[in-house]
Amino acid sequence: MKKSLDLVSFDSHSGQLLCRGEWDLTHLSSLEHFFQNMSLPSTGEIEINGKEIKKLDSAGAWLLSTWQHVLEKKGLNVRFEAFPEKFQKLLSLIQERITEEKPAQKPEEPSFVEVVGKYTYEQYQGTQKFLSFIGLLATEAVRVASSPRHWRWNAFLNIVYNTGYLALPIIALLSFMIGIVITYQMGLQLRTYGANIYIVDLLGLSILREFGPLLTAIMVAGRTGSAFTAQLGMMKLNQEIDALDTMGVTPSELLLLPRIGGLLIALPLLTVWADIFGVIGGMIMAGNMLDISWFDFLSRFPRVIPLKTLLIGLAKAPVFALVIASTGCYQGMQVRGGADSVGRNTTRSVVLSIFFIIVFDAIFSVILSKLKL
Amino acid sequence: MTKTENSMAKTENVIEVKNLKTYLGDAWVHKNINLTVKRGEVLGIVGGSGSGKTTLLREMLGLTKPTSGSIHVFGKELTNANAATLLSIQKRWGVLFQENALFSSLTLLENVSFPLCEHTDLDTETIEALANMKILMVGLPPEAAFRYPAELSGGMQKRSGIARAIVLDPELIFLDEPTSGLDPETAAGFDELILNLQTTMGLTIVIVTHDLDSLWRIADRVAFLGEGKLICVDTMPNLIKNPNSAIQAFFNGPRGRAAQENYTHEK
Repeated sequence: MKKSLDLVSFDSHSGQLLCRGEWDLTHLSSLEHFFQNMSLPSTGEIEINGKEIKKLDSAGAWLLSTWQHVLEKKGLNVRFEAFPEKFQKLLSLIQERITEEKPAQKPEEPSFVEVVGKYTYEQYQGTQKFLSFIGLLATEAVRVASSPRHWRWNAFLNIVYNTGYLALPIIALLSFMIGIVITYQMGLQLRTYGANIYIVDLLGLSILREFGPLLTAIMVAGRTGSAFTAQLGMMKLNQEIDALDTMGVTPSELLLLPRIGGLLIALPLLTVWADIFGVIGGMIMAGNMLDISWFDFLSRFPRVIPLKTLLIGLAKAPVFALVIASTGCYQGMQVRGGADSVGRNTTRSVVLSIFFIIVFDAIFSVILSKLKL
Repeated sequence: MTKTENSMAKTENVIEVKNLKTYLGDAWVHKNINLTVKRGEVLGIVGGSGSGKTTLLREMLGLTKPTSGSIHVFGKELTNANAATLLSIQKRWGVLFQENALFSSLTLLENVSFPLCEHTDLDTETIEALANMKILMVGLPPEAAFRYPAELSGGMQKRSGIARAIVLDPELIFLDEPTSGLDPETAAGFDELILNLQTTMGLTIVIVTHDLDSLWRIADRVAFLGEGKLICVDTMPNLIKNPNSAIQAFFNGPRGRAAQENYTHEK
């Protein structure tokens, strides 16, 4: 009986397997299919003849070698005949590899308990590492502060410029629109009671005390915190951080402290900027919707909004700045391995910053209400 | 294969670069380059830093567009090829980049399987078996398959890069500085690996390198680039006799002579 295909035919009488044409990767699946459906003699000798083979690549050679292996296990004798010399070379190379070494087994998937345990331990270690990072920064800050020669004015001003000045347009636009939205929503309610003028009180309190600092901090966490992590992460991968260390310049002094200090200056300034535009947005909306003239608005504003509202809002900004800058820098310094890790740490930096910004905001609210401010 | 077919196949040009000119930044990187790569040969591309080797390689790969001139790969024009033509060419070549360019988020096995998953319809088992075979072929230990690139040493990363480059059984491979950053023993082993693959798989190889030992050991012909031109293409023994001052400076410095003596002595 003869079973054949364009590329291969098997004569079960003479036990000859004749290979023809191109034995390469593109034909591999049809060849595999042929082998699986081939009816085999139970004993004897099989001759694999390669005199008509035109092309043999390593995939084809691999297939022949695995089949040789399988057939020999079944107790058949396998002989390679009439293969051109160059194919013979490739075949013997592959045969060596197949018999020599079995591919390693995939490591087993960890169990649920193991995963939970590992995760918990990693979180614990992460917290410990973050605390020691903060400790290191604090000691470095003391060291640098005591010797003005180590103050990095250029790096510091560069950070203020990049995180503060360049963020002005987007922060202005965002808070302007938040002012409009808040006024619109509250205006609808106030109008029902004819209490239009109280929009000034509500808007002033909510923007200056809560929305201004909070939204600015969230925007900056997305804009600057992520940039810190990505920059430091790439520098870490490039061994730039190691290079600094070997030159007797600590990364904290040149890279981390200017970033933290710079943001500490920039974020309160941005918050003032956001307050201004939030109030302007609300004022325009109040004029359009509630018929409160700009004069009325501005003359009522200082009478009903005490200065401490602004100050409480501004007091939060440095705390948020510390949260954003330290998280961003810490995550950047934790980058290991490759591009993947940069992406993961950048995401983590933004998520953690925003999370802690909101946590600290809540803590502020509790403390301030206890203090009756 | 008969003798005539064989010799025809030998003289077929795999790459043909004609009148290639490139203007990058504010300078002419290539002023007029003509170069052919024949089937089955190992062509080395050398030249001082900034001589446009890497740009030439990128143009052959279709990553950078030349200002004018033509590049034929496997007889097809590359500079204005459509996506389908380009893909048909891309399936027939493999590339080892200077920094290996292994995907850092994938394990070694996944890296090597990647071209197979993308371009063949084989089942997962076969793909893994083929990828494992290539990993063994380049001399990596089997247990390396489940490690990530960052967990491999420099030499192992190079070998992984080669394994990924040859996984589709290409006819042509490009190697960009394959031995840079390797210790001499590993580098020598790498040269042997390249030669071994070249003879068993019948590869055509274009190799950009500074490694003089590699050039002596594996290159059939060497193309010397300088001042935006192809100064000379010849075998190493002929190339070093070229009186051009740039070539003399490159090959007849102390290191060049040491490599040459070493090689001629070996022979």
